[in-house]
Amino acid sequence: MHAAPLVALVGNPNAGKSALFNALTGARQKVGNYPGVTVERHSGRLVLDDGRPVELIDLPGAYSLEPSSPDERVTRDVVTGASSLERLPDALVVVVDAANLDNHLRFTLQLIALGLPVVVALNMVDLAERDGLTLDAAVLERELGVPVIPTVAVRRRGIDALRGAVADLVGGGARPRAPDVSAGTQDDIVQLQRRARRIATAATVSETAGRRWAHLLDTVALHPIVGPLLLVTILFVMFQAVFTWAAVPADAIDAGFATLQDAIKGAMPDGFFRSLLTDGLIAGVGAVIVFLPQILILFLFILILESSGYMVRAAFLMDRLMATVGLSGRAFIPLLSSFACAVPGIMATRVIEDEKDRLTTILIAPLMTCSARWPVYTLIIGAMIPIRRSHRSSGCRASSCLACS
Amino acid sequence: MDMSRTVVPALDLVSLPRRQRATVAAIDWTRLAVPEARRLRELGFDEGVAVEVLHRASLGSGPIACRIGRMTVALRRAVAGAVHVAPATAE
Repeated sequence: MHAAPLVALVGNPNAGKSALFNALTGARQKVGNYPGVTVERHSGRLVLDDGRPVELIDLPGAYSLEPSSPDERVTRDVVTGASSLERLPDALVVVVDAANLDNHLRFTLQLIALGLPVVVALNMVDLAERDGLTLDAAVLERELGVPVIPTVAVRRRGIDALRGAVADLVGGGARPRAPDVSAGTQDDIVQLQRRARRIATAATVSETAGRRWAHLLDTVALHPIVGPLLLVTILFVMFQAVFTWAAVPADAIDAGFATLQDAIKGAMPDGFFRSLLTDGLIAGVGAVIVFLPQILILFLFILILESSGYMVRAAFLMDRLMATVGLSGRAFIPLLSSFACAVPGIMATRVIEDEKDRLTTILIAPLMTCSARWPVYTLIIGAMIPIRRSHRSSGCRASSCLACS
Repeated sequence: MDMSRTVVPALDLVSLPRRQRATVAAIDWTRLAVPEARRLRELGFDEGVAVEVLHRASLGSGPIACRIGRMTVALRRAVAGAVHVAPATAE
Protein backbone atom coordinates (compact mmCIF):
# COMPACT_ATOMS: atom_id res chain seq x y z
CA MET A 1 0.00 0.00 0.00
CA HIS A 2 1.73 3.11 -1.14
CA ALA A 3 0.97 6.72 -0.24
CA ALA A 4 -2.05 8.53 -1.62
CA PRO A 5 -1.83 9.20 -5.36
CA LEU A 6 -0.35 12.57 -6.22
CA VAL A 7 -2.29 14.77 -8.63
CA ALA A 8 -0.84 18.07 -9.85
CA LEU A 9 -2.76 21.09 -11.08
CA VAL A 10 -0.92 22.74 -13.97
CA GLY A 11 -1.75 25.47 -16.42
CA ASN A 12 -1.07 28.95 -17.61
CA PRO A 13 -1.06 31.73 -15.04
CA ASN A 14 -4.49 33.25 -14.51
CA ALA A 15 -6.26 30.14 -15.74
CA GLY A 16 -7.91 29.80 -12.35
CA LYS A 17 -5.76 27.01 -10.93
CA SER A 18 -5.85 28.29 -7.39
CA ALA A 19 -9.61 28.79 -7.43
CA LEU A 20 -10.00 25.27 -8.74
CA PHE A 21 -7.57 24.00 -6.13
CA ASN A 22 -9.59 25.62 -3.36
CA ALA A 23 -12.85 24.29 -4.81
CA LEU A 24 -11.45 20.75 -4.96
CA THR A 25 -9.81 20.65 -1.55
CA GLY A 26 -12.08 22.93 0.42
CA ALA A 27 -10.25 24.55 3.30
CA ARG A 28 -7.84 21.65 3.69
CA GLN A 29 -4.78 23.13 2.08
CA LYS A 30 -1.23 23.51 3.21
CA VAL A 31 1.17 26.15 2.05
CA GLY A 32 4.84 25.44 1.97
CA ASN A 33 7.86 26.71 0.13
CA TYR A 34 10.00 25.33 -2.61
CA PRO A 35 13.48 25.98 -1.20
CA GLY A 36 15.76 28.24 -3.20
CA VAL A 37 12.96 30.10 -4.91
CA THR A 38 10.21 32.15 -3.37
CA VAL A 39 7.53 29.92 -4.75
CA GLU A 40 4.92 28.59 -2.42
CA ARG A 41 3.96 24.97 -2.51
CA HIS A 42 0.22 24.54 -2.12
CA SER A 43 -0.89 21.07 -1.32
CA GLY A 44 -4.15 19.70 -0.07
CA ARG A 45 -6.13 16.55 0.33
CA LEU A 46 -8.93 15.64 -1.98
CA VAL A 47 -11.26 12.83 -0.99
CA LEU A 48 -12.69 10.96 -3.97
CA ASP A 49 -16.29 9.79 -4.05
CA ASP A 50 -15.24 6.25 -3.15
CA GLY A 51 -13.38 7.51 -0.10
CA ARG A 52 -9.85 7.26 -1.44
CA PRO A 53 -7.62 10.18 -0.55
CA VAL A 54 -5.61 11.96 -3.22
CA GLU A 55 -2.88 14.48 -2.59
CA LEU A 56 -3.37 17.52 -4.77
CA ILE A 57 -0.61 20.04 -5.46
CA ASP A 58 -1.06 23.41 -7.09
CA LEU A 59 1.96 24.03 -9.30
CA PRO A 60 3.11 27.54 -10.25
CA GLY A 61 1.61 28.87 -13.46
CA ALA A 62 3.71 28.31 -16.57
CA TYR A 63 3.47 29.07 -20.28
CA SER A 64 5.45 26.19 -21.59
CA LEU A 65 7.88 23.50 -20.57
CA GLU A 66 10.69 25.89 -21.44
CA PRO A 67 11.24 27.55 -18.09
CA SER A 68 11.92 31.28 -18.18
CA SER A 69 11.55 31.87 -14.46
CA PRO A 70 12.28 29.95 -11.26
CA ASP A 71 8.63 29.11 -10.67
CA GLU A 72 8.24 27.78 -14.19
CA ARG A 73 11.26 25.61 -13.57
CA VAL A 74 9.56 24.15 -10.49
CA THR A 75 6.55 23.25 -12.62
CA ARG A 76 8.69 21.75 -15.39
CA ASP A 77 10.73 19.68 -12.93
CA VAL A 78 7.68 18.30 -11.15
CA VAL A 79 5.75 17.24 -14.26
CA THR A 80 8.83 15.66 -15.85
CA GLY A 81 9.81 13.84 -12.68
CA ALA A 82 13.10 15.74 -12.49
CA SER A 83 12.27 17.36 -9.19
CA SER A 84 14.21 16.13 -6.20
CA LEU A 85 11.58 17.48 -3.81
CA GLU A 86 8.44 16.09 -5.34
CA ARG A 87 7.63 12.65 -6.65
CA LEU A 88 6.28 12.29 -10.14
CA PRO A 89 2.51 13.01 -10.13
CA ASP A 90 0.22 10.11 -10.89
CA ALA A 91 -1.99 12.37 -12.94
CA LEU A 92 -2.23 15.96 -14.12
CA VAL A 93 -5.22 18.27 -14.05
CA VAL A 94 -4.51 20.81 -16.79
CA VAL A 95 -6.43 24.01 -16.20
CA VAL A 96 -7.23 26.10 -19.27
CA ASP A 97 -9.09 29.38 -19.54
CA ALA A 98 -11.98 28.81 -21.94
CA ALA A 99 -11.77 32.37 -23.21
CA ASN A 100 -8.10 32.03 -24.16
CA LEU A 101 -8.26 28.53 -25.49
CA ASP A 102 -5.77 28.69 -28.36
CA ASN A 103 -3.06 30.22 -26.20
CA HIS A 104 -3.58 27.84 -23.32
CA LEU A 105 -3.99 24.72 -25.45
CA ARG A 106 -0.38 24.89 -26.60
CA PHE A 107 0.89 24.21 -23.11
CA THR A 108 -1.83 21.58 -22.71
CA LEU A 109 -0.55 19.78 -25.82
CA GLN A 110 2.97 19.85 -24.42
CA LEU A 111 1.75 18.37 -21.15
CA ILE A 112 -0.31 15.67 -22.85
CA ALA A 113 2.77 14.75 -24.90
CA LEU A 114 4.57 13.92 -21.64
CA GLY A 115 2.47 10.78 -21.38
CA LEU A 116 1.07 11.23 -17.86
CA PRO A 117 -2.67 10.66 -17.37
CA VAL A 118 -4.30 14.02 -18.00
CA VAL A 119 -7.72 15.54 -17.45
CA VAL A 120 -8.39 19.01 -18.80
CA ALA A 121 -10.48 21.41 -16.74
CA LEU A 122 -12.02 23.87 -19.17
CA ASN A 123 -12.30 26.66 -16.64
CA MET A 124 -14.22 29.94 -16.62
CA VAL A 125 -16.72 28.73 -19.22
CA ASP A 126 -19.22 31.24 -17.84
CA LEU A 127 -17.00 34.17 -18.80
CA ALA A 128 -16.48 32.72 -22.26
CA GLU A 129 -20.24 32.33 -22.68
CA ARG A 130 -20.79 35.88 -21.54
CA ASP A 131 -18.45 36.97 -24.33
CA GLY A 132 -20.52 35.01 -26.83
CA LEU A 133 -18.13 32.09 -27.12
CA THR A 134 -19.65 28.63 -27.03
CA LEU A 135 -17.29 25.67 -26.82
CA ASP A 136 -17.91 22.01 -27.43
CA ALA A 137 -16.13 20.01 -24.74
CA ALA A 138 -16.81 16.77 -26.61
CA VAL A 139 -14.94 17.97 -29.71
CA LEU A 140 -12.10 19.18 -27.52
CA GLU A 141 -12.05 15.79 -25.81
CA ARG A 142 -11.84 13.98 -29.14
CA GLU A 143 -9.13 16.26 -30.53
CA LEU A 144 -6.97 16.15 -27.41
CA GLY A 145 -7.60 12.51 -26.61
CA VAL A 146 -8.10 13.21 -22.91
CA PRO A 147 -11.22 13.91 -20.79
CA VAL A 148 -12.33 17.55 -20.80
CA ILE A 149 -14.54 18.84 -17.99
CA PRO A 150 -16.11 22.31 -18.24
CA THR A 151 -15.82 24.05 -14.88
CA VAL A 152 -16.45 27.34 -13.18
CA ALA A 153 -14.14 27.07 -10.21
CA VAL A 154 -15.32 30.16 -8.38
CA ARG A 155 -18.93 28.96 -8.55
CA ARG A 156 -17.98 25.33 -7.89
CA ARG A 157 -19.59 24.25 -11.14
CA GLY A 158 -18.24 21.04 -12.66
CA ILE A 159 -16.21 20.22 -9.56
CA ASP A 160 -17.96 16.89 -8.93
CA ALA A 161 -17.43 15.82 -12.54
CA LEU A 162 -13.77 16.78 -12.29
CA ARG A 163 -13.39 14.78 -9.09
CA GLY A 164 -14.93 11.81 -10.89
CA ALA A 165 -12.50 12.19 -13.79
CA VAL A 166 -9.55 12.31 -11.39
CA ALA A 167 -10.86 9.13 -9.75
CA ASP A 168 -10.89 7.40 -13.14
CA LEU A 169 -7.31 8.51 -13.84
CA VAL A 170 -5.79 7.31 -10.60
CA GLY A 171 -8.09 4.30 -10.35
CA GLY A 172 -5.95 1.94 -12.39
CA GLY A 173 -3.18 1.90 -9.84
CA ALA A 174 -0.63 1.64 -12.63
CA ARG A 175 2.50 3.64 -12.06
CA PRO A 176 2.94 6.43 -14.60
CA ARG A 177 5.54 5.68 -17.19
CA ALA A 178 8.55 7.96 -17.43
CA PRO A 179 7.60 11.14 -19.24
CA ASP A 180 8.86 11.75 -22.71
CA VAL A 181 10.68 15.01 -22.07
CA SER A 182 11.81 15.40 -25.65
CA ALA A 183 8.22 16.01 -26.70
CA GLY A 184 7.22 19.61 -27.10
CA THR A 185 10.52 21.37 -27.22
CA GLN A 186 11.27 24.80 -28.61
CA ASP A 187 11.71 23.65 -32.22
CA ASP A 188 8.14 22.78 -32.85
CA ILE A 189 6.55 25.55 -30.82
CA VAL A 190 5.09 27.15 -33.93
CA GLN A 191 3.73 23.78 -35.00
CA LEU A 192 2.21 23.30 -31.56
CA GLN A 193 0.63 26.74 -31.70
CA ARG A 194 -0.86 25.95 -35.11
CA ARG A 195 -2.25 22.68 -33.82
CA ALA A 196 -3.61 24.41 -30.71
CA ARG A 197 -5.33 27.01 -32.84
CA ARG A 198 -6.80 24.39 -35.11
CA ILE A 199 -8.19 22.46 -32.15
CA ALA A 200 -9.54 25.64 -30.58
CA THR A 201 -11.27 26.55 -33.83
CA ALA A 202 -12.74 23.06 -34.12
CA ALA A 203 -14.07 23.19 -30.56
CA THR A 204 -15.64 26.59 -31.03
CA VAL A 205 -19.33 26.08 -31.75
CA SER A 206 -20.17 29.71 -32.20
CA GLU A 207 -18.32 32.92 -31.69
CA THR A 208 -20.64 35.85 -31.94
CA ALA A 209 -19.13 39.22 -32.42
CA GLY A 210 -21.21 40.19 -29.42
CA ARG A 211 -18.96 43.07 -28.62
CA ARG A 212 -19.37 44.83 -31.91
CA TRP A 213 -20.92 47.87 -30.30
CA ALA A 214 -17.94 47.99 -27.94
CA HIS A 215 -15.59 48.00 -30.94
CA LEU A 216 -17.65 50.76 -32.49
CA LEU A 217 -17.34 52.81 -29.31
CA ASP A 218 -13.62 52.11 -29.28
CA THR A 219 -13.15 53.54 -32.74
CA VAL A 220 -14.63 56.77 -31.40
CA ALA A 221 -13.04 56.76 -27.94
CA LEU A 222 -9.59 55.86 -29.27
CA HIS A 223 -9.78 57.98 -32.42
CA PRO A 224 -6.58 60.02 -32.82
CA ILE A 225 -8.45 63.34 -32.83
CA VAL A 226 -11.92 62.66 -31.45
CA GLY A 227 -10.57 60.53 -28.60
CA PRO A 228 -8.53 63.20 -26.80
CA LEU A 229 -11.31 65.76 -27.36
CA LEU A 230 -13.79 63.36 -25.79
CA LEU A 231 -11.46 62.81 -22.86
CA VAL A 232 -11.06 66.54 -22.23
CA THR A 233 -14.83 66.99 -22.50
CA ILE A 234 -15.52 64.21 -20.02
CA LEU A 235 -13.01 65.61 -17.57
CA PHE A 236 -14.45 69.11 -17.98
CA VAL A 237 -18.01 67.90 -17.40
CA MET A 238 -16.86 65.89 -14.41
CA PHE A 239 -15.09 68.72 -12.63
CA GLN A 240 -17.79 71.21 -13.59
CA ALA A 241 -20.42 68.87 -12.16
CA VAL A 242 -18.47 68.53 -8.95
CA PHE A 243 -18.76 72.26 -8.42
CA THR A 244 -22.27 72.97 -9.76
CA TRP A 245 -24.27 69.88 -8.77
CA ALA A 246 -22.79 69.91 -5.32
CA ALA A 247 -23.87 73.50 -4.71
CA VAL A 248 -27.50 72.64 -3.88
CA PRO A 249 -26.91 69.93 -1.25
CA ALA A 250 -23.92 71.85 0.08
CA ASP A 251 -26.04 74.95 0.63
CA ALA A 252 -28.73 72.83 2.26
CA ILE A 253 -26.20 71.30 4.63
CA ASP A 254 -24.81 74.74 5.35
CA ALA A 255 -28.28 76.08 6.13
CA GLY A 256 -29.05 73.02 8.26
CA PHE A 257 -25.99 73.56 10.42
CA ALA A 258 -26.77 77.28 10.74
CA THR A 259 -30.30 76.43 11.93
CA LEU A 260 -28.90 73.93 14.40
CA GLN A 261 -26.46 76.52 15.63
CA ASP A 262 -29.24 79.06 16.14
CA ALA A 263 -31.43 76.52 17.89
CA ILE A 264 -28.70 75.68 20.38
CA LYS A 265 -27.84 79.31 20.86
CA GLY A 266 -31.48 79.96 21.76
CA ALA A 267 -31.76 76.96 24.05
CA MET A 268 -28.55 77.28 26.03
CA PRO A 269 -27.32 80.06 28.27
CA ASP A 270 -24.29 81.93 27.00
CA GLY A 271 -21.09 80.37 28.23
CA PHE A 272 -18.11 78.18 27.52
CA PHE A 273 -20.08 75.05 26.60
CA ARG A 274 -22.44 76.84 24.24
CA SER A 275 -19.48 78.37 22.49
CA LEU A 276 -17.73 75.02 22.31
CA LEU A 277 -20.83 73.36 20.89
CA THR A 278 -21.88 75.99 18.36
CA ASP A 279 -18.68 77.74 17.30
CA GLY A 280 -16.40 74.77 17.76
CA LEU A 281 -18.14 71.46 17.17
CA ILE A 282 -21.04 72.38 14.87
CA ALA A 283 -19.19 75.03 12.89
CA GLY A 284 -16.10 72.86 12.61
CA VAL A 285 -17.81 69.63 11.60
CA GLY A 286 -20.21 71.58 9.38
CA ALA A 287 -17.35 73.19 7.47
CA VAL A 288 -16.06 69.76 6.52
CA ILE A 289 -19.43 68.03 5.96
CA VAL A 290 -20.37 70.75 3.47
CA PHE A 291 -17.86 69.22 1.09
CA LEU A 292 -19.38 65.76 1.31
CA PRO A 293 -21.58 66.28 -1.80
CA GLN A 294 -18.52 67.25 -3.84
CA ILE A 295 -16.59 64.22 -2.66
CA LEU A 296 -19.51 61.89 -3.34
CA ILE A 297 -20.09 63.26 -6.85
CA LEU A 298 -16.39 62.93 -7.68
CA PHE A 299 -16.35 59.34 -6.41
CA LEU A 300 -19.47 58.59 -8.43
CA PHE A 301 -17.86 59.87 -11.62
CA ILE A 302 -14.65 57.95 -11.04
CA LEU A 303 -16.67 54.81 -10.30
CA ILE A 304 -18.65 55.20 -13.54
CA LEU A 305 -15.50 55.83 -15.58
CA GLU A 306 -13.76 52.89 -13.99
CA SER A 307 -16.57 50.34 -14.35
CA SER A 308 -17.46 51.40 -17.89
CA GLY A 309 -13.91 50.67 -18.93
CA TYR A 310 -13.30 54.23 -20.06
CA MET A 311 -10.41 54.63 -17.60
CA VAL A 312 -8.41 52.08 -19.59
CA ARG A 313 -9.08 54.04 -22.78
CA ALA A 314 -8.03 57.22 -21.01
CA ALA A 315 -4.80 55.53 -19.96
CA PHE A 316 -4.23 54.54 -23.58
CA LEU A 317 -4.74 58.11 -24.78
CA MET A 318 -2.70 59.65 -21.99
CA ASP A 319 0.28 57.32 -22.20
CA ARG A 320 2.35 59.48 -24.53
CA LEU A 321 1.77 62.56 -22.38
CA MET A 322 2.51 60.73 -19.16
CA ALA A 323 5.66 59.25 -20.70
CA THR A 324 7.10 62.73 -21.04
CA VAL A 325 7.16 63.02 -17.25
CA GLY A 326 8.44 59.47 -16.94
CA LEU A 327 5.16 57.81 -16.09
CA SER A 328 3.04 55.24 -17.84
CA GLY A 329 -0.48 55.94 -19.06
CA ARG A 330 -1.68 53.65 -16.32
CA ALA A 331 -0.62 56.31 -13.82
CA PHE A 332 -3.44 58.45 -15.13
CA ILE A 333 -6.11 56.39 -13.37
CA PRO A 334 -4.50 56.54 -9.91
CA LEU A 335 -3.72 60.22 -10.31
CA LEU A 336 -7.27 61.02 -11.35
CA SER A 337 -8.57 58.98 -8.42
CA SER A 338 -6.26 60.99 -6.21
CA PHE A 339 -8.47 64.01 -6.86
CA ALA A 340 -11.08 62.16 -4.87
CA CYS A 341 -8.69 60.77 -2.30
CA ALA A 342 -5.03 59.82 -2.40
CA VAL A 343 -5.63 56.54 -0.57
CA PRO A 344 -7.67 54.74 -3.28
CA GLY A 345 -5.36 56.44 -5.76
CA ILE A 346 -2.35 54.79 -4.21
CA MET A 347 -4.24 51.51 -4.00
CA ALA A 348 -5.00 51.80 -7.72
CA THR A 349 -1.27 51.96 -8.52
CA ARG A 350 -1.26 48.18 -8.15
CA VAL A 351 -2.09 47.92 -11.85
CA ILE A 352 1.27 49.48 -12.77
CA GLU A 353 3.70 46.67 -13.48
CA ASP A 354 6.94 48.57 -13.53
CA GLU A 355 8.22 49.06 -10.01
CA LYS A 356 9.82 52.42 -10.71
CA ASP A 357 6.68 53.74 -12.41
CA ARG A 358 4.60 52.53 -9.51
CA LEU A 359 6.77 54.21 -6.91
CA THR A 360 6.81 57.50 -8.84
CA THR A 361 3.04 57.44 -9.12
CA ILE A 362 2.66 56.69 -5.43
CA LEU A 363 4.91 59.63 -4.58
CA ILE A 364 3.02 61.98 -6.90
CA ALA A 365 -0.47 60.86 -5.86
CA PRO A 366 -0.52 62.71 -2.50
CA LEU A 367 0.47 65.90 -4.34
CA MET A 368 -2.79 65.83 -6.30
CA THR A 369 -5.50 67.98 -4.80
CA CYS A 370 -7.58 65.45 -2.96
CA SER A 371 -11.13 66.47 -2.22
CA ALA A 372 -10.59 66.67 1.53
CA ARG A 373 -8.08 69.43 0.87
CA TRP A 374 -10.63 71.61 -0.84
CA PRO A 375 -12.17 72.83 2.43
CA VAL A 376 -8.72 74.02 3.44
CA TYR A 377 -8.14 75.71 0.10
CA THR A 378 -11.52 77.40 0.14
CA LEU A 379 -10.94 78.53 3.68
CA ILE A 380 -7.60 80.08 2.75
CA ILE A 381 -8.95 81.50 -0.51
CA GLY A 382 -11.94 82.92 1.35
CA ALA A 383 -9.64 84.58 3.83
CA MET A 384 -7.12 85.84 1.28
CA ILE A 385 -9.41 87.15 -1.48
CA PRO A 386 -12.38 88.71 0.30
CA ILE A 387 -12.40 92.05 -1.51
CA ARG A 388 -12.79 90.74 -5.02
CA ARG A 389 -16.56 90.60 -4.75
CA SER A 390 -17.03 92.10 -8.19
CA HIS A 391 -15.64 88.98 -9.83
CA ARG A 392 -17.83 85.99 -10.25
CA SER A 393 -17.04 84.19 -7.04
CA SER A 394 -17.11 80.70 -8.56
CA GLY A 395 -14.62 81.55 -11.31
CA CYS A 396 -12.34 83.23 -8.83
CA ARG A 397 -12.55 80.28 -6.49
CA ALA A 398 -11.99 77.75 -9.23
CA SER A 399 -8.92 79.51 -10.59
CA SER A 400 -7.52 79.88 -7.10
CA CYS A 401 -8.16 76.19 -6.52
CA LEU A 402 -6.27 75.36 -9.68
CA ALA A 403 -3.42 77.58 -8.56
CA CYS A 404 -3.35 75.86 -5.20
CA SER A 405 -3.21 72.42 -6.72
CA MET B 1 15.57 27.94 -47.07
CA ASP B 2 18.29 27.71 -44.50
CA MET B 3 18.84 31.42 -44.44
CA SER B 4 15.28 32.15 -43.32
CA ARG B 5 16.24 31.97 -39.67
CA THR B 6 18.85 34.67 -39.92
CA VAL B 7 16.71 37.12 -41.85
CA VAL B 8 14.92 39.52 -39.51
CA PRO B 9 11.31 39.97 -40.63
CA ALA B 10 10.82 43.54 -41.75
CA LEU B 11 7.33 43.93 -40.37
CA ASP B 12 6.64 44.52 -36.68
CA LEU B 13 3.56 45.61 -34.75
CA VAL B 14 4.54 49.27 -35.18
CA SER B 15 4.59 49.09 -38.96
CA LEU B 16 1.75 46.61 -39.42
CA PRO B 17 -1.19 48.33 -41.12
CA ARG B 18 -4.39 48.63 -39.09
CA ARG B 19 -6.89 45.81 -39.42
CA GLN B 20 -4.37 43.63 -41.21
CA ARG B 21 -4.50 40.13 -39.80
CA ALA B 22 -1.09 38.74 -38.99
CA THR B 23 0.68 36.18 -36.86
CA VAL B 24 3.64 36.71 -34.58
CA ALA B 25 6.72 35.60 -36.50
CA ALA B 26 9.28 36.19 -33.76
CA ILE B 27 9.67 38.18 -30.60
CA ASP B 28 12.97 39.88 -29.90
CA TRP B 29 13.07 39.06 -26.19
CA THR B 30 16.50 40.63 -25.81
CA ARG B 31 15.06 44.07 -26.56
CA LEU B 32 12.63 43.79 -23.67
CA ALA B 33 13.12 44.22 -19.97
CA VAL B 34 12.40 41.09 -17.94
CA PRO B 35 9.02 42.26 -16.56
CA GLU B 36 8.02 43.48 -20.03
CA ALA B 37 8.86 40.15 -21.58
CA ARG B 38 7.05 38.33 -18.81
CA ARG B 39 3.94 40.43 -19.22
CA LEU B 40 4.00 39.96 -22.97
CA ARG B 41 4.09 36.21 -22.51
CA GLU B 42 1.35 36.41 -19.92
CA LEU B 43 -0.85 38.14 -22.46
CA GLY B 44 -0.28 35.27 -24.84
CA PHE B 45 2.26 36.82 -27.20
CA ASP B 46 4.28 34.01 -28.67
CA GLU B 47 5.32 32.74 -32.03
CA GLY B 48 2.43 31.71 -34.24
CA VAL B 49 -0.23 33.64 -32.33
CA ALA B 50 -2.68 35.73 -34.37
CA VAL B 51 -2.52 39.49 -33.85
CA GLU B 52 -4.22 42.50 -35.37
CA VAL B 53 -3.60 46.21 -34.84
CA LEU B 54 -6.83 47.97 -33.85
CA HIS B 55 -5.90 51.49 -32.84
CA ARG B 56 -2.93 53.76 -32.62
CA ALA B 57 -2.90 56.57 -30.10
CA SER B 58 -2.30 60.04 -31.40
CA LEU B 59 0.13 62.47 -29.75
CA GLY B 60 3.17 61.42 -31.69
CA SER B 61 4.33 57.96 -30.82
CA GLY B 62 1.61 56.79 -28.49
CA PRO B 63 0.82 53.18 -27.66
CA ILE B 64 -0.74 50.68 -30.02
CA ALA B 65 -3.88 48.73 -29.23
CA CYS B 66 -3.97 45.30 -30.75
CA ARG B 67 -6.09 42.22 -30.56
CA ILE B 68 -4.42 39.06 -29.36
CA GLY B 69 -6.61 36.01 -29.00
CA ARG B 70 -9.85 37.42 -27.69
CA MET B 71 -8.24 40.27 -25.78
CA THR B 72 -7.45 43.82 -26.74
CA VAL B 73 -4.19 45.00 -25.25
CA ALA B 74 -2.22 48.21 -25.55
CA LEU B 75 1.52 48.10 -26.10
CA ARG B 76 4.03 50.88 -26.07
CA ARG B 77 5.89 51.32 -29.35
CA ALA B 78 9.16 50.21 -27.80
CA VAL B 79 7.54 46.89 -26.86
CA ALA B 80 5.46 46.61 -30.03
CA GLY B 81 8.63 47.08 -32.08
CA ALA B 82 10.07 43.91 -30.59
CA VAL B 83 7.13 41.88 -31.89
CA HIS B 84 7.87 40.85 -35.45
CA VAL B 85 4.85 39.77 -37.42
CA ALA B 86 4.05 38.09 -40.69
CA PRO B 87 0.84 38.98 -42.53
CA ALA B 88 -1.63 36.14 -42.33
CA THR B 89 -1.75 33.90 -45.34
CA ALA B 90 -4.16 31.11 -46.08
CA GLU B 91 -2.61 28.05 -44.52
